[in-house]
Amino acid sequence: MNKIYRVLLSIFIITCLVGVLFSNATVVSSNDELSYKSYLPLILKNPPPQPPTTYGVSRYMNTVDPVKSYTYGCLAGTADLQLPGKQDKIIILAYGQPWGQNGQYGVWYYSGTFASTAVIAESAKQFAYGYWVCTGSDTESTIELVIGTSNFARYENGVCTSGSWFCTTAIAYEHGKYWALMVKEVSDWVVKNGYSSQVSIAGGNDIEFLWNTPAITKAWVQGYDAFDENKYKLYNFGSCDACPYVGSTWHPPANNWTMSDAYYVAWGAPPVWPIPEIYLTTGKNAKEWAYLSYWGTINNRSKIQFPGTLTQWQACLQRGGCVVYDTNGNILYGSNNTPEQGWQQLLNEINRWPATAQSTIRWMTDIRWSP
Amino acid sequence: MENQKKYRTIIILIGIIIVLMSTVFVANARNVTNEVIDPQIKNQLDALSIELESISDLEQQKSLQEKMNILQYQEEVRVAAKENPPQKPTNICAAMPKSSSPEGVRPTGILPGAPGPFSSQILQVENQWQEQIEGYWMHVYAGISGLDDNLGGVMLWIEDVESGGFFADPQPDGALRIISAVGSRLELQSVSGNFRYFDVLAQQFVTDMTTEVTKVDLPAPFAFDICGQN
Repeated sequence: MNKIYRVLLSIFIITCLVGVLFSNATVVSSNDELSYKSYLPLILKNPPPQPPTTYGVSRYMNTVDPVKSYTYGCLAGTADLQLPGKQDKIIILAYGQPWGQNGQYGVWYYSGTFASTAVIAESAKQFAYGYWVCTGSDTESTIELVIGTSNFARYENGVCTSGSWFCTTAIAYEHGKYWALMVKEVSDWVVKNGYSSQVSIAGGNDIEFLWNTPAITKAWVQGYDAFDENKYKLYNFGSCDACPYVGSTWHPPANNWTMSDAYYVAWGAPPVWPIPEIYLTTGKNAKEWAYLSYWGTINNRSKIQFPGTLTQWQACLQRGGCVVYDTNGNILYGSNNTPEQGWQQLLNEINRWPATAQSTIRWMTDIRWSP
Repeated sequence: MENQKKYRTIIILIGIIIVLMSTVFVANARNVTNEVIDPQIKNQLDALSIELESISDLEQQKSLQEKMNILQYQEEVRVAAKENPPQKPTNICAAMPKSSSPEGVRPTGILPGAPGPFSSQILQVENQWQEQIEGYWMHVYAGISGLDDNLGGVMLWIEDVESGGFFADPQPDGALRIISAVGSRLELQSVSGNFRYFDVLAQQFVTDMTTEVTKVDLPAPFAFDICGQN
């Protein structure tokens, strides 16, 4: 080959390679959420979506002590400060079951006593402040801080027991209302003090079908929605218990929940976004949530946008109980997905159908016990 | 003639290179134009917008519109705060709150089932027991595994230390329930009426309420106060 052709061919190949290195393959659409895209031909690479580089450390809040809450926030902030570049995480603080006493609303938290929404708000503020302070020179990293309760009440033979409080739709609505007002108060405090460049506040509820009826749970969501001023998200970080999934679509969800109920508390209600528990190594949780989204699309509803996934890998390391063995001691399956496994499982499942597809999932978070 | 062919080839190749370089610029163009709005929020807004266009149900439209409103509010607040950020304290200990909330009096003994710090996928709780022993608050939740319909067990949670965990019934017989407690020894009953015994300090199932077993040494409580104020 003539020398000049060899030189020109080399320049051509090098240019192509450089172009590939510095270009983003998803070039045609400016919308990352469109999953099916046309690509420029021939040489642009199309790497599979990767999970976020790190996960947010969510916590079962065994305490409402402001000092401890500040410390936990500071630990999260220090971790982000030490990581290169901008971090973007969601952190759930799970405070426990809804409760009320002496005219106050709050939670019966894990240490076994009542904490009012005022006390919880102070705990959440100190977590937010601790994060903001301890990110120090990193002023770009952000967290979405979720103040969470649950839909738990104890039932025996279908009757809410005397040891439970969260037993009627009226109580549930009021509790949802006061939870929204608390979220607003914490958010206003964060905004007023200038921390909102790095911290945003949302409400949350660990909605598990086995824990309560759809009527009571939906009443709580409606109470929250009525007082959230269209400003504060509500994350459902629960499970889709016994929900149908591909390969097993014949049955309804557990405990007399319908798919319509499940969809409402996952996405249908205006403030709700799901951060689903994707615990099972078998992928069943991911299949259930993906099928719920698919069910929506074939029932005149929109697909669910999943902003994140929740796993309990750290808690499993701390306490065990997450693996089932056969009689020979071999692992059959577990509920100890790593954050990356949970994220990948859900992404794969929602991309089973074009109608439910997402190109990526923004966050992954993993819950632990707080010592 | 030979030279003309060479020049034509060169021009074609240069043309190809220009097209490729333009591709790169176009590919990265959105990163420049959308600097102000967080790209993650923009992605979510765009996706919601597409869904909104495709949905005819009014309730669904209202819901999607509200989700978009929330995202927009969140982003407005973030951008506004970035324009005039307050000075961060350099001393993280000086910023720490000084006081702790007084805690209410805790009930002790056998209590109705409350959710522990775990999902119903781990343990569906029948009831629980809590006491302060040797300076540690100990919580035991009895019930059935969320993974196996026949596997009863207990979850032991000891506050402030990395200890405890899930203990499966050595002879699985459905859900377990705590029926009595003496010191750190719990008596439990399965759904079939069979009795089990669990020693909290030894962190194991035992054969009866009296046989002595070696207790597990607990680690020092986690030091919460990073600044040594309390």
